[in-house]
Amino acid sequence: MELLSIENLKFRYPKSENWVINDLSLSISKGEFVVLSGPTGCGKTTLFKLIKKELSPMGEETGKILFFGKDKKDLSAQESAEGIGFVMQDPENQIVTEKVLRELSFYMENLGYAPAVIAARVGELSNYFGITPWIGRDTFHLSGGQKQLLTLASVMTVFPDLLILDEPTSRLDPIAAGEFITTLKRINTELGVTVLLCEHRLEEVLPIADKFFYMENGAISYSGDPRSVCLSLAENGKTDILPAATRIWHGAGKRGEAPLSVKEGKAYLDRYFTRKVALCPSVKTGKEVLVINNVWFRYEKEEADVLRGADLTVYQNEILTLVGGNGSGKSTVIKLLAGIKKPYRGKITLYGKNLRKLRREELYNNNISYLPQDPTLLFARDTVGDELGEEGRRFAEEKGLKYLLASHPHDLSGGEMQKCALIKLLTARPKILLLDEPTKGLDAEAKKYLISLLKELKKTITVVIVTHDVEFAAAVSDRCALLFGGEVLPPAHPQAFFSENYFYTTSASRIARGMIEGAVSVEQIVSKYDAES
Amino acid sequence: MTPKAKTVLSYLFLLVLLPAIAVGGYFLFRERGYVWISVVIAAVACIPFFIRFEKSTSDVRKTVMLALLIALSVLGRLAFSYVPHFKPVTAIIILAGIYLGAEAGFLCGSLSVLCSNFIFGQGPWTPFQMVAWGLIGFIAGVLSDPFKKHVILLMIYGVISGVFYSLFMDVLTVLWLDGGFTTKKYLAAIVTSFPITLTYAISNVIFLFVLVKPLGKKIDRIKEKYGI
Amino acid sequence: MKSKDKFAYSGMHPVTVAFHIMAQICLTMFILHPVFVAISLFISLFLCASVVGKKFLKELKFYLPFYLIVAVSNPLFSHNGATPMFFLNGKPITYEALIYGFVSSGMFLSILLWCRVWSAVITDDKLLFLLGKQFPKIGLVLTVTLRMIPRFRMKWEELREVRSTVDDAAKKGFVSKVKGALRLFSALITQAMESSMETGMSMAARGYGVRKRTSVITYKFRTGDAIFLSLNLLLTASIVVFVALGAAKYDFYPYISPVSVGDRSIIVFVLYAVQSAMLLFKEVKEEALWNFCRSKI
Repeated sequence: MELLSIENLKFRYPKSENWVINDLSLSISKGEFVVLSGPTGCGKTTLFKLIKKELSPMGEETGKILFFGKDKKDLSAQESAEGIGFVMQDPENQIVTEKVLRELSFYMENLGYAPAVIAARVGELSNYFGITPWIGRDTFHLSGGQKQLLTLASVMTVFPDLLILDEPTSRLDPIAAGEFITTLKRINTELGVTVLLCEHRLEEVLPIADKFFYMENGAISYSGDPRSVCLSLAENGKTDILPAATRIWHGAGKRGEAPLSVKEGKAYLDRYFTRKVALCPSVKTGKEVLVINNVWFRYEKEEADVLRGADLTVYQNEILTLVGGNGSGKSTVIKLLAGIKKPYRGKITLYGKNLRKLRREELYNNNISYLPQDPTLLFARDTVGDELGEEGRRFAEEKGLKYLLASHPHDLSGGEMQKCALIKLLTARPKILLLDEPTKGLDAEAKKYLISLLKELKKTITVVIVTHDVEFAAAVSDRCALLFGGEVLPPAHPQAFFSENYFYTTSASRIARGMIEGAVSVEQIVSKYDAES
Repeated sequence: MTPKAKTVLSYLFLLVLLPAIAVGGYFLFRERGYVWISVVIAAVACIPFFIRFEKSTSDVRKTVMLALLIALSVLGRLAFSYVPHFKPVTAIIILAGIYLGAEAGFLCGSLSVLCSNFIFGQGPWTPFQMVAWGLIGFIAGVLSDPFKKHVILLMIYGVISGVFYSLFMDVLTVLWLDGGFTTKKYLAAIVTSFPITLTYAISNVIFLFVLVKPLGKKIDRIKEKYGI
Repeated sequence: MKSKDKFAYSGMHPVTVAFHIMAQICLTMFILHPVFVAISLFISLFLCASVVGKKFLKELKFYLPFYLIVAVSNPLFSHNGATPMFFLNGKPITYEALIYGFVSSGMFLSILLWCRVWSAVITDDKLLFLLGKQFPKIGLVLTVTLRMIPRFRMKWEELREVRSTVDDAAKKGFVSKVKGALRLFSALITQAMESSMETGMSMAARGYGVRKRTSVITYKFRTGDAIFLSLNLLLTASIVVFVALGAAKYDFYPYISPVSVGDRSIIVFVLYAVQSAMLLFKEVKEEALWNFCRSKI
């Protein structure tokens, strides 16, 4: 049965010339798991908000959105509220109340459910989602993964027919994101809830999806079952967004059926690669720039240590990447390096000088620049241009970003924001660039650009990155290290590093394991194939 | 009992029983009854405003904006806790009244008190402060148009509300310390608290001056962007 | 704003506890009689120590000087009373005024302590429950606010850190520092507004405003509550009756009246002590029960 159908939908914002949604049609049947993807700015979020009546932005809208055959405009408030569940990107902003229990009952309270019904359902759902152990806690103290799970559970309390999720895992670490997607799959198969998911991590979601839509310029450009859509995307040169297995297939022979998952990718290599080879990388060192020596740190006196005797050396003109789960202390390390936080034991030196003893202007003028996880924090003025200053504005114009200068920082997309933030940092002419999660909210194209930019910058400056994004880490770094147990484990060349990890590693490395030792990216695997044939 | 009868009953309770308690308290405790009465009256005075807010339509963005301004004023009170009496609270409440309307102004004032007293301590002064700040926000809302046009009027209002707040709280001080209320004692209290009154007025003017433009601009931007 | 539920109160209905403390505060506020004040003060001290815990010792450092200052300052301003102890600037410092100071200051202190007990026992969700019945929307505004406060505090901290590394970092001088602080505050407001608009969307998506809200927080009104509440009502009413009949009449000026321990007075003292100590009894009982149960294991 058709659950949602959209016919020739067009939409534009007030005072705007171009259509954000331009003649878009799609249909979703009951019980399907549907994945939607596309470059940033293609109109995904607007589309999702248009489907959910309460969130529909103001503007000019033509065409039809039918929910169970009924026009969106004819749905009652109750029908719309109960029928469509909506989960957004940022778990932090979505949580309304201060107690987990209240958050879970929020939806039902709004719809006037009887207290007895609410209590029963909250009990049931908190068991199903494994929330029970922390049901009495304040929402403020939850981890990102727990917050997003809570949001999902809270939406599920009214059992919506359609569940819409707009990049729900973009703020989570890979392990938490994997768990979240597994939960989604369970909701779909066990409860029969229709899922419409927008996601960049196609790797994990495409193998479980029934349908895949690819959206460009406000319309669906490819649709169908995931495998055939991937095939047509590959044929049209849009390989960057595809799962690693499919990219390997595309680069290395295109024999047989296109693989989607890691499992299928491994099977493909087993079948079509004859020799086992190994890549042996070596690590270069240079002049010592930043040295962390036996550093201990905790946020509050009564709290546990975040870092316990951490050691790390950063060499000149390298890109060093630190990975690790949520709460492993990644952000802490970078804040310590930036001199924002001070260790209570141990020493950090910058070019042999104690970081503690350097004055602010010595630290931040032509020396260290720090990009926080949320780049909007760098922007305190009302327009981008004001914040960038004279030199920054010129630089932005050179990069073709002149159109952004008059905008309010909060109106920029993730990619635009990231570019402007980097420009702002570079105007201080740093010798060291510290980046906290620089790929957050970036699409494949923007990521590619960032990688090439950083590799260019590396010639003159030193870069330290902390990130969840293992694919990015593998592509950009000279050395990688894992943070665990309050220590930085010894750094290694990315190839050595990721080919030894089982969980914190790239899909390509998982696929290549046992066949091409040391390969961590699709390009490396594909190059071996070329060498072979 | 039907829900309607229930509401009627509860309003009756609020509007008849509480004043009855106040009057009864006076006859029972005589002199010391003044505090009793004034605290109860202050509490009751908030109720019509609360009821009106409950009855109004729920615009979700306005609700969140209200919560946001309350949170800001609580944080403002917290941030300046080491400077006695010099606080941005009144300024934020006035701006809440101007940009979100009289009702929201009252709520912002009274709920800021309720929330921040979780941190600073609840007491018999809570209902008093709730009414005082609530009224300041309410009046700002009523006069929002002239205030938006003429910054000078706004500054004058900042001074007036600082003085009003001080005078209002002096009533409690007199009642609280001495039980009875006489003009002489009240004047004495006003004189003693003059430096505080002055600080209130000055801080209101400074914070209004500093906040009115950026905050107003931001609220307008958000209103436009999200269509409130 | 942490909710810490002690044994005795976690099981009780908020209305029961709230009524008890309110009644106690009111009685304390209006009966200015040394014995009543002493009873209320000592019991509130014990109760505070029991519900607030170790932190209370630190807080006492604030309460005690307050008590002494208010007590001693009374004879400096009030020269009523017939027994001068000595003269200061030609004004008599009287014995009666000093006693009055100690008693009335004791009353203030015990009201403060009862309020402290209130904050410790009536946690935010209990207050929301009390409000939520009549004012569900206000209850919601409060709960959203309570969630925002720690978030914005953290955001402020982050902003301060990050801004210290960019252009304002090296600037010196008062004016540019103030400007920097203002810019920080203005940035915080922007951040807060953007994020709260998203919160608003998440509320709208979950049906906020579709119907009249119900409230899930429910406390069962049990037999124990009924007994506690009716006992409480009975005690309060009888104390009020006794007071109305003049049992708590006490004069400080011109002479301190003697504390009478006649039949009527002694009854009302006992009644008042029982009324004040009801929560403490309950607390001790539960503690004993807990220890007893544990000794069995």
